[in-house]
Amino acid sequence: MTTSPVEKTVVCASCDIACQLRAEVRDGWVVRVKAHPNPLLRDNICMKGIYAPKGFAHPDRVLHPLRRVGERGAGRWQRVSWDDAMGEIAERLTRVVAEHGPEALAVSTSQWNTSTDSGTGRRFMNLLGSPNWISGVALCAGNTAAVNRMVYGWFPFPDIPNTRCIVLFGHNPRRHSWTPVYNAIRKAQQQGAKLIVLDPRRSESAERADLWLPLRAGTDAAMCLGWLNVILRERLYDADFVRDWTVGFDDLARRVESYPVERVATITGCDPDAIVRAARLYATEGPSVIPWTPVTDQQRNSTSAIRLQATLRAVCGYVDVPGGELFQAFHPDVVPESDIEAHHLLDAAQKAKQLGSDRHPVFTYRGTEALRAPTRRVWGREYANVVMGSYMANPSATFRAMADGVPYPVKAFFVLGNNALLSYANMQLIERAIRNQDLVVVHEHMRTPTAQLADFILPGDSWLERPHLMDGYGWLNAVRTSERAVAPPGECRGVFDFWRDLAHRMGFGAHFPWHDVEELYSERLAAFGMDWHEFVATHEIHVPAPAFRKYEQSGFATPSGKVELRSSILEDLGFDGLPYWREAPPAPAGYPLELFMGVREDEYFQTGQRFIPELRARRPEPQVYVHPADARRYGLDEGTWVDVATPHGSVRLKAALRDDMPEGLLRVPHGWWKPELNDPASLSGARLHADAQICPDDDDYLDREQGVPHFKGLPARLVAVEQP
Amino acid sequence: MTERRQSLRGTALERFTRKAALQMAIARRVSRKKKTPLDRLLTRLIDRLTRPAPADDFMRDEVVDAAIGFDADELRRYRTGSPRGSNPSG
Repeated sequence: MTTSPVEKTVVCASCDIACQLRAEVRDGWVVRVKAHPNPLLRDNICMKGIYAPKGFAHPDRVLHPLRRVGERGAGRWQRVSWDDAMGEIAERLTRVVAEHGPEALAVSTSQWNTSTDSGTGRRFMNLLGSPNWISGVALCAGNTAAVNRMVYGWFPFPDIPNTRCIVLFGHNPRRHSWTPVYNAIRKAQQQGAKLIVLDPRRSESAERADLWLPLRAGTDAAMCLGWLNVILRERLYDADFVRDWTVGFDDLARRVESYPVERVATITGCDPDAIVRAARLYATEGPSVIPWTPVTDQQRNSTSAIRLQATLRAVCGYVDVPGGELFQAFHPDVVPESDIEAHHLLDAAQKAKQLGSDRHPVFTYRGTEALRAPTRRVWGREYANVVMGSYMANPSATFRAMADGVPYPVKAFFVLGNNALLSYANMQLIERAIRNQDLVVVHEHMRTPTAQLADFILPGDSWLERPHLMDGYGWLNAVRTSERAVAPPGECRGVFDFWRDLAHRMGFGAHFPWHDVEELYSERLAAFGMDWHEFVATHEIHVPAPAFRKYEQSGFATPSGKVELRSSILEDLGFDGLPYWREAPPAPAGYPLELFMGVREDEYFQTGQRFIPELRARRPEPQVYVHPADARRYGLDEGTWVDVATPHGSVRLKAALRDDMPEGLLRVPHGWWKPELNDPASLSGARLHADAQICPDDDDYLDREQGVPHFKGLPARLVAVEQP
Repeated sequence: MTERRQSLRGTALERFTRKAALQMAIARRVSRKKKTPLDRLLTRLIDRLTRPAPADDFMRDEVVDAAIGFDADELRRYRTGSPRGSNPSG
């Protein structure tokens, strides 16, 4: 019998933007996901959310715990109970810890589960004694947050609705990607805001821009140095703010003198007059914003480029002002996830073992140690894990420890909602690392290539099947509520349940007193005088009263209390305290093209959604964007299969001829595999198509301070092939 | 030399902050789940004020506007249908 539909308010986690939506439920199924009727949230929906119910009903979804039988990766599984699975996981983890120490556990999480554990994953790790937590946010927003904190103590959020000028560094929000950001930018443009786009490709955003600078891929830092050269030379900065609230301005001014516009034009390939016009527009048309961009996150000069964007905001006086970049910080009445994570429980000796912190410390415990006291002084808490990015191990260093036991062995790897094999640079190393583990646990919806290499696959719930208190990734101060629309199918459970269960089995039960995640939410919301159920019944969103120029009362959460244009933290860690430009090594012979990796396709988020028929029909194959002139040179037609290779590896993609691409540059999509292939030998097509195989992570291709890989401007070549 | 616009400060910033606080208070009412008659009135008002003319509405989109939905039986049959890429023992 068909019942009347019921509507639930939900927060979508089909990507990381977290749109608040409505789910229409009928007969125990979510039959429609639609935009929220609240006029403030209207239109913030995309096709990934709309088709999510189909994806969660997929016949291949993992509904029961599975235990590997036979060789790792052979594709043979046995259904087991949760109790048996968790019992064996606890027992085997105990053995690993006894033999190698607690740091021998590494955890990788991302996307749909990130933040839905409410900090319990880090809490478990801190109780156990492992600092080795990694995530895709190491190269996407989390690292930006860590670098921004070094400059001015928080990661600001752009006030796009009130701004007068928007600068997009390679970022290209669209109707179905970063939807609310796209919505806000288009509205701001309608109200007269200017748009500057810096992108090698004539993207959709570039088409709408007042000024488009087609810079060479990976030269964001040089471009920012050029802008600062113009702004400082022409005295277009906010002299009062610089005098009262910054340190290191004179040193910075001397550094940027080395980057006259002509030099920057040579590095970036842009017209010098356009560089000057853009710098002037940014500095004089303000308040301006430079929204976060994944493109700057993934470059050889990422730390300098992110610092320079922060520097531009600061010297132009756009920090914590209307229409500029706002320091939202913690919601005053909600216990942040950073508190639940309980980083104080991990002692200094274990923190010092965090992998990668010796050579690339920026987003590790070591790199953020000097921020503890200032963060307490300004924001009231010692630990602020903004966008989960402030206390991470370095991914490449973690995989080397897993594969080679250097500097010490890592022998247990837990992967939650994260297709780790495809999500970082150097997939070859990651596969070797996973195959060298004593225990691999994957909590997932589908048998991803990573799950195929696991000892246990545990069935994960989805955002339509769990309640969630969305706190803006510890970055924004708005909290939003998501109701459980339907019960999880089969034996699917949430990440909170996984960590709670394991904590009780490992003797940490006293630190996990909550019976379910609602009890934890109730504790976090106690200052409202209501529990989770009352809160969710009355609130869709709660935002504290706005405040600006908060630094005038409390200073900045940096060691000096001011904006550190010359970073005391980086200098103490042994790095250049000023931002700089580091040239690429010469391209090896035989690689005449350049590669821009990481296209976000509207249909997919990271490595997900390719099993949803309606989305896959729209984009059935991985495509490489090629300029028509390059296509002629290499004898390609639209749809020709090609092998795109770097010195590190090769992937097979279908050529898409695009005249919006510059000649000589290829653009490759991220995260491709083919869920329909039941083929352990190819890891469901990952070995053929996944871009992580062509991403190197040796020193020439790593940012020095963070150790993040260079994805924008790698030397490459392509060859047409007969077969897909 | 090009002149730069100053960011808000002093009384102008105080005015803006008051305006932002008022907007936030309205937003809270619009976002209440248990709405009073005043909340509903404000919601309708905000909806009208923020809804663009169709010609200016850049958020219109064929996938979104199609109001795509699924039938519960269709989803049930889909879930219990033949797995395509999985191992039979799972």
